[in-house]
Amino acid sequence: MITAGIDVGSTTIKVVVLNEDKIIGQMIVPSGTLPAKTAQDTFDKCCEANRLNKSDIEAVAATGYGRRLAKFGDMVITEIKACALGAVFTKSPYGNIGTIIDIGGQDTKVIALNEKGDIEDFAMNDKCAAGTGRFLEMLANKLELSYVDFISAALQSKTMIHMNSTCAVFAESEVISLLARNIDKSDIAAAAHNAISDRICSMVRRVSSKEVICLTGGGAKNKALANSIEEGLNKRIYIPDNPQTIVALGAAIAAQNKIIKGEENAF
Amino acid sequence: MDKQFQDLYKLNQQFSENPGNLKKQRFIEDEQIRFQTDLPYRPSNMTYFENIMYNRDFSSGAKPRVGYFCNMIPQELIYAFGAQPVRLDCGNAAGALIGEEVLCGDICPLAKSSFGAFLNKNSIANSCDILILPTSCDAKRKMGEILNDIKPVFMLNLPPEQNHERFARQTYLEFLRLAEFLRKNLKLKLSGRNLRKYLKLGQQRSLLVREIQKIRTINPRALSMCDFFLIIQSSMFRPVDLEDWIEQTKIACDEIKRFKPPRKSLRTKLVLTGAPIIWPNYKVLNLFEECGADILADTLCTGAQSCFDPVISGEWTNGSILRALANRYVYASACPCFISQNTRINRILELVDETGAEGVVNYSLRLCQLFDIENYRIDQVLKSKKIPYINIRTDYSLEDREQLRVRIEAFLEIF
Amino acid sequence: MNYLYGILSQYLTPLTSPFFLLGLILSVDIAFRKLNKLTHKVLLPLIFGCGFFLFYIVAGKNAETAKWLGRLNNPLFAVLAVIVVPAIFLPRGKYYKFFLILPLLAIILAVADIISQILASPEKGFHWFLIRPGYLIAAVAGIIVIAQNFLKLDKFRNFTRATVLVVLLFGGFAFRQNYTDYKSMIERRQNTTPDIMNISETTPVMRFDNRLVYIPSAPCRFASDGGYVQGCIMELTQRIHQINFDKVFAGDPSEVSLLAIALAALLSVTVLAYIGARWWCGWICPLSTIGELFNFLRKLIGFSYLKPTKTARITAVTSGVSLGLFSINLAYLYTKIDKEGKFMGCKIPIYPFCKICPGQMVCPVASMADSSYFVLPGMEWLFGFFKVGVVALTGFFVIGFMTSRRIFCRFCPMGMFGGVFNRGAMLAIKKDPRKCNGCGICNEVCPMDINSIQKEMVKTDVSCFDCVYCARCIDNCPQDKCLSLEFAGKRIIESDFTKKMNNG
Repeated sequence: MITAGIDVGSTTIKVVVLNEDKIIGQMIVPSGTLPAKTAQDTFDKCCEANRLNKSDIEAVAATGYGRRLAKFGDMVITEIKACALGAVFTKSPYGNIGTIIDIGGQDTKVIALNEKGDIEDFAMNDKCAAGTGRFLEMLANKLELSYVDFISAALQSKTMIHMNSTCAVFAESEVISLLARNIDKSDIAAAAHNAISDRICSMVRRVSSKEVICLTGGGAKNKALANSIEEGLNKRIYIPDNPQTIVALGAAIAAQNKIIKGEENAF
Repeated sequence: MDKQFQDLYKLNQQFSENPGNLKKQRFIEDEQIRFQTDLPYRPSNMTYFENIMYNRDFSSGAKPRVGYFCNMIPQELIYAFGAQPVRLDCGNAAGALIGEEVLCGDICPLAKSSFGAFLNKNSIANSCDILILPTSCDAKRKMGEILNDIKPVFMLNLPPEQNHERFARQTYLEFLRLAEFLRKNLKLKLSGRNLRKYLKLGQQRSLLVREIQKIRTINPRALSMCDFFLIIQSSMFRPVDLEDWIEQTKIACDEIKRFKPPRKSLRTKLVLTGAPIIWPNYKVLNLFEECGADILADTLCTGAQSCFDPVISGEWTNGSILRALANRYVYASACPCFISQNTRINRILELVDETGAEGVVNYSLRLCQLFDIENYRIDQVLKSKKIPYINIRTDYSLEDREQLRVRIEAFLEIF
Repeated sequence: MNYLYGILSQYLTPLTSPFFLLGLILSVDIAFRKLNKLTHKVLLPLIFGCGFFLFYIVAGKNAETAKWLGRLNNPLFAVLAVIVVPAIFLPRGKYYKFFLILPLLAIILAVADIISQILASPEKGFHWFLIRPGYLIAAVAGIIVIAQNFLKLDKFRNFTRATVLVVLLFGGFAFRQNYTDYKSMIERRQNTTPDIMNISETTPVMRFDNRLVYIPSAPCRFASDGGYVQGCIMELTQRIHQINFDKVFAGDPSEVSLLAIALAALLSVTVLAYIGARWWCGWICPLSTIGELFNFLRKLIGFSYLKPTKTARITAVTSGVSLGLFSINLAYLYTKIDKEGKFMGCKIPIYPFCKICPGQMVCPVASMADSSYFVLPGMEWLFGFFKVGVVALTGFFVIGFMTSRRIFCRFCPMGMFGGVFNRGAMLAIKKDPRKCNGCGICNEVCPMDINSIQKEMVKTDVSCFDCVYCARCIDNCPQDKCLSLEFAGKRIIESDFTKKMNNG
């Protein structure tokens, strides 16, 4: 049985094609200004690239901010549930996942799971940029570094300095004043990562911080951030392969579950 | 009776010339009416209630008008004096922006919006003759001082604890003082016969609300929660003839009773608790309606709970009736402004049992410390009883609808 | 009718024992709570009934036991067991109508007895109804049980109180065996010597063919020919203290029988108190019914009642207890009086408490009895203690009921005796704390101003010492099913505002 999941996010659109328990195709593209059209195009392209006929796909589930824009989808599911399904599917080698931290481009989610993998509680920060990937992008810009260099600079930092701003916009001006005091760029980069990880950790603690903690989303690819969070929570962090497409994967799994349930009910 | 406020530094009333904002306020009301008109299964006389809320002609009627805030002021007493009570808590998001022109922006949106109404010459707030405010929360307490420069204000001192032994006598004296204030300022006499008549009408209203809630428990699709709130609020937030309202509600109730659902309802059943939801700010109710859940009961001071408790008096002597009013309006209230006697928690758990609800929605207004801090205990209690719940914390603004929607949908996916 | 009465008395004797009533209620309680099948539920009380009958017959073979058992018997227990207990416990389905035949039968028998007595009397003209006590009690209970089906709680309570008031205060004239008995009573009443404290007035009515009724409330012996109502705990206590125990241990038969009678009375009253606790105060006591008339006057005038302060309440209780103890002590000292009737220079009457008790003023005045002299002898005794006492207490009675509802009942020693049984006995007021919204209406309507019901938010049993079970709190509670009255585990009344208002 082949199903597909499409995550229509605000920055990128992700597609995952799933065959039972194997991922047979995935794709990430920027959303652009016409997410509905881009969603359809990305889906077509993904099928072509993996030599799949659209008729082979039994169901498509849409999730993400623009889930209702992907009108060709067969079901709609929130990114919270999709994230939980996707993360549990990847089978963490360290044991059951207790908490999922999804660091997206424009929002951050914390999801608490019980032993069976069901959602117990969740919290979202989608009102403020501080604590999201956008924050780090803005500061990388300010330091005139590419995003990748920004991360490696943070990993090389030896001294810990503290950034005071709670607001992403004010953090920019703080970066300028730090540069004026001749603070090393790597230290500033590290401080930025610590600031964002502080906010994320305090949100996690308000919800739950059960082991194992799984990082997903674009922000999970940032090694400096992952280290900072691991230190901040003092718990083991598990980062699955392809963390950015976990939500789309979860959507595909949701479609699969629905079909299986439908077949069971038919009997 | 000594004066509560000293007129030493009397300020002039400010008005705000902001026609754009008034248009926006109207637009929000229009949107809400449009949303509710599109609901399936409405009783045929809903237009009566809509017209009451939508009406913009606030010119004073034959009776003097008494504006009041919150749910602790005895409406029956005001009616018995021959005056018309009108609740002035405002629910318009654009109204909050007007309040911000004068007061600080970081305060309760309800306070901003209600105060903003006074800056509008033709609002219902300005059409009142006198005002009564209870000392329920900080915002109301301090607003009373400012409003006294506009209209005569009476601040009803509430006890900090709902404890009869310590405070029953004081509350009784406060109600006596209220009666005296009404007599002096309205220049009307308290009619014992009217008091008894309106007590009975209040009991009838309470019975109607109980009945509709019972019908909705069995048959949630018979009446949407948005419509139920509209019906209840139309009896408090606008000048209305209580007997007319009771008659119309009886007609609606009979219609609802005969409603037969076309199919089985698979929508999730929930109980709502928390901060006031005032027309037209039905944002959260609309979202739940759209996302496919039914709210069966609530503990809100602007919802079914506000009319749920009747006033029962053992005797018909005036002193006895004043005590009975105090008992129902002050001591039976579930507002967090009182030191908790677990009234709210008990009510939530009791409603969950009675209605068979699957979860609880805890709604609080941003910047209300009372709800924020009390919610800690409620959350822990619900968690310990393994009742699924969601906390929705928002203000009046309509911009965060999508963000709330994803949270609500994720919550409903648990069931 | 004579013949019928004889047969009934003979065969229904075991039913008149207080132990039968007690055992019946307990077995019904266990049957309804623990057993499931309907046949089992009916079987257990039946088995108990038959067992008790057997035991009674066997025990009656022994003369001494028979005498003791006989002393305890009273038709009131039989009536309670046969008419009142089933009325409470039987389910109110469509078959309940068939049970109502029983009280109807009682009323018919009573009317038949009255008619037969009228036909049998040699004198023509009206001279009060004569009726055998057993029929009277059965008929009264029957009327009350039938009326309960038609009246709402408040009206039903007032109806019960009025009926009982009439029977207890004026029934003395009716409680006669036959016409000759009635004539001798009239003769006795011609003796207007104001020595009502003399024991000779009471002897002819003491324990005379089952005319005695023990009710643990305050129907006073000083009602018109009211010596048959011996419920008052104060009188029994005083009497017991006046018994010469030396004579008892010496085996003096008259003294022993006096003690035996007093103890039997005490036992009966205790059993009734255990069964009904302070319910008698709220529904039967004629003193409180008369007091409520004063309360009604207050409502008519439009006066709001005064809530008694904590000091007032504590004063009422302590003065009641201390006056009671003092009077009992005086009663004991009565046995030590010298030839002139004085003890240490003071004259002491035979029943000191009765001299100051308002019941002795109120009940006779209400029933127009001869004992209601205003200038009672011995008022100046003991430094005017009795004169001041009776004026003060009667004044307290009237003013208390006129301004503060039932504050007098906090003082009444009879009430306190019943109140001891309030917690843990068969009647209980139950509350579901989660349904309570803290409004305090239960406190407002409570004539005893009890606030523990409203304050209790953890436990479910909220019975307390002062409660007279008038059930006004349950009737007025706005939260459906929050408060309820339970008798031996069976829920009799529960708060249901919605239903009450919907029924008009």
